[in-house]
Amino acid sequence: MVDASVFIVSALIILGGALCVVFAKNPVHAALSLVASFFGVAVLFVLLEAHFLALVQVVVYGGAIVVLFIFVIMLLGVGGNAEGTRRVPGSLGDSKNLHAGQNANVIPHETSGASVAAGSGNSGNLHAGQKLDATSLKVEPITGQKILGVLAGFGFFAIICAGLFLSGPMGVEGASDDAGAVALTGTKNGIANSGIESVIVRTADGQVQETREIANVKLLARDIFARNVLAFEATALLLTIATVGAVVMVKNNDKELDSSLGLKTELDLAEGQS
Amino acid sequence: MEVTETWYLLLSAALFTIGMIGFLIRRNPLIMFMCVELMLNAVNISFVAFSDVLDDLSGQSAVFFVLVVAAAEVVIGLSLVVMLYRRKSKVSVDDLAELRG
Repeated sequence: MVDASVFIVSALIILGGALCVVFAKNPVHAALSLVASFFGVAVLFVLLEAHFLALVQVVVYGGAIVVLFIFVIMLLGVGGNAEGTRRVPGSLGDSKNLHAGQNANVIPHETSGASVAAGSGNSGNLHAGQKLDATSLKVEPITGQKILGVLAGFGFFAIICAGLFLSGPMGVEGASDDAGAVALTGTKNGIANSGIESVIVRTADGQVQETREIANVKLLARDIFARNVLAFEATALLLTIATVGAVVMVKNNDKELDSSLGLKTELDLAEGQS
Repeated sequence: MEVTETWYLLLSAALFTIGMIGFLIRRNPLIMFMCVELMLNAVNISFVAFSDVLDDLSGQSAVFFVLVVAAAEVVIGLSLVVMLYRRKSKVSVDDLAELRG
């Protein structure tokens, strides 16, 4: 009963935060809603007895990644201020009404010459531009993109639910029959991996929770550092490459921007630096 | 009322759907990255739920790796957004159309 109430509350937090992320006009609000959603997921991890992952979820997702998002949002100069809201319809907070005509009206105010002509020219016959990927992407997205997106999302959800409920009981029960080999070896691996800790769990009956909590971290460490060492090393390489790549990209762009000053108009430069 | 793994899978599907809808209907790259994070979290929930059901820790280590890859992806994606913003002084995914060959 406690589990159910905790699950329901955290599920509401997760889904509400996710909906706020999708429908927030201000990106800062979206990032803060994202924090709420991540915290709900961390609570679910605790409920599923994955304590280490709950900790990492809060520290890495709620801490590092969202801070990175907010940092970039602030770096790009979009707050709730007047200038930001003036720039919002075309730029950071994209307009909620995604009708093609209105967006085609918004965009030309902010882009320069050529794309204005292209925008106003192609916005009239968007159905024809729908076929031409290049121009339609450049000008404005597909007509009724929002409706299509929502329909695709609900279709996906229906397919998942159908798969879950049509094969649900059989999948879980049949796991011991058909795919039972995988499940059973998985279980046996878990027990074999646990070794000492499982003995501790069995002997000390009074402190089952605490010992399992400690055992979870130890077992996960053993799983990562023993069975998945290669993947762990590849992860280190990936993080190094990502960091170096980000630095190189931003620096190169700086040089290009400086060297291609002649190609840019003063208006672009002024806007780029503001 | 007992919490079974079906609840977790339903929640995971709902969260993934919300993230997918957001990715499809929003055109701000920052929001789109956030929606990608939502989808990754949905998959993480189902990983941990299956790990709990099957009593196997491989799911949790998979979540660990997904988390690291998500961090790397966010770093690269946000640097792309910063680069895009410097060029265009406005951030919209439509500008990425100019990246074509």
